[in-house]
Amino acid sequence: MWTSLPRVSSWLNRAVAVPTLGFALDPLIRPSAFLWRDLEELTTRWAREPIQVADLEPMKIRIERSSGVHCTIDQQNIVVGFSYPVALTEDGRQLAFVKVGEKRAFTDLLPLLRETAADLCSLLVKKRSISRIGVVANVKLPPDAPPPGVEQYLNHLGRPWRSAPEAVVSRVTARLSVTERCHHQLQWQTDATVLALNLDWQRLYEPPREVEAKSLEKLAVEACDSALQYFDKFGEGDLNYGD
Amino acid sequence: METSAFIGGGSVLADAPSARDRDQTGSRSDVFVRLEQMANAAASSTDAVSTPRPTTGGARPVDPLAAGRRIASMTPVAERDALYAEQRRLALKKVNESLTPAEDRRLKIVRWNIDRIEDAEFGPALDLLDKRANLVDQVATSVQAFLAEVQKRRRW
Repeated sequence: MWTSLPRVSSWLNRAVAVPTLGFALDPLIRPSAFLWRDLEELTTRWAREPIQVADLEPMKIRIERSSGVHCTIDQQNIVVGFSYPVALTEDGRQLAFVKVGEKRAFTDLLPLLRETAADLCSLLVKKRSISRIGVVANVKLPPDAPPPGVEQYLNHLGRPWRSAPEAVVSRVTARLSVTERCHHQLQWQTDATVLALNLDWQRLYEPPREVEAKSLEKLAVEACDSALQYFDKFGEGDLNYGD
Repeated sequence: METSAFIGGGSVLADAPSARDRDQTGSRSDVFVRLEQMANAAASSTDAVSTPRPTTGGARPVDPLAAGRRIASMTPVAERDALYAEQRRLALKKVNESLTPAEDRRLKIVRWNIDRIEDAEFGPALDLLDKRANLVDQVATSVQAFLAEVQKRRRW
């Protein structure tokens, strides 16, 4: 089991924010049936609670757990994400109603995904090379109260016109260091009820690095910590806006 | 494209979740199936791992205010205390000396965090109060309009 992140006071814990964790590995041509066999031990354990499994393509599978954690595996990627489970409830006396799962803080969800990824990697990664680890924060905010860094970013986008923009649909990929980059996607408009922000942090291994399940564990822990640090830096506005 | 195959807007992350926790009875009315389709549509829009896209309409968007309040209200007491202590320390330093740009940024984000936590605690009650105040205003406007109408008719 991978060690959990310490609970930190991240701004992401004050908004609807969910993580995704993914690994890009060297291609391994393995049909879905073989992947299911590799994961048999794990899926049997998970199946104590309701799970949904699907062959999406001949070499791509997806498992959805009732907790909201879902895993997508293909010949190159292992991606673990989270979506709030949506259930329909009906008691026979009134119309059915949609019930969304209990809300959870971002830094509580990230260790959950890492544990799931660890379980998957222990069965799927014997000796492979990794080219990329990605940690995504998908955030939905009320537009009238964004964190200072997001407000600063929005104002920065409007600087050529010397006023805050009326609407933004943007995607900026920035190189943070030699081995790190982040895709910043933002969608916002003045009369909208949601400000959607997607921060997709990635650590690149060029050339790809050989890993086993154990060494991948260490890389994933480091990546999650670094990603969280960058997300906090972005939310705080600790970037060079030229002020 | 390199990013489209992996993290960052590719098909992997854009998948919408299907409805989970299905009932185990096996018999489901048409209404229930239609509602489930509606739930799927809602889930695809509220799915927080879907890539932001231009709004196409139709699906119900997530209410970030209510959901964010729910999450902020779960902040542990120790974390709240740490935020208040940090705010106090930085605010005092701002008054007595001056803050470095990094400390100033930190003070802003700490205040934002505290605002979110306090909004989660008091926001719903204040919203209700605001709604009621607006209602009273509307009633007052209607009564005034009614009185004006009565006076106008009296003159006839």
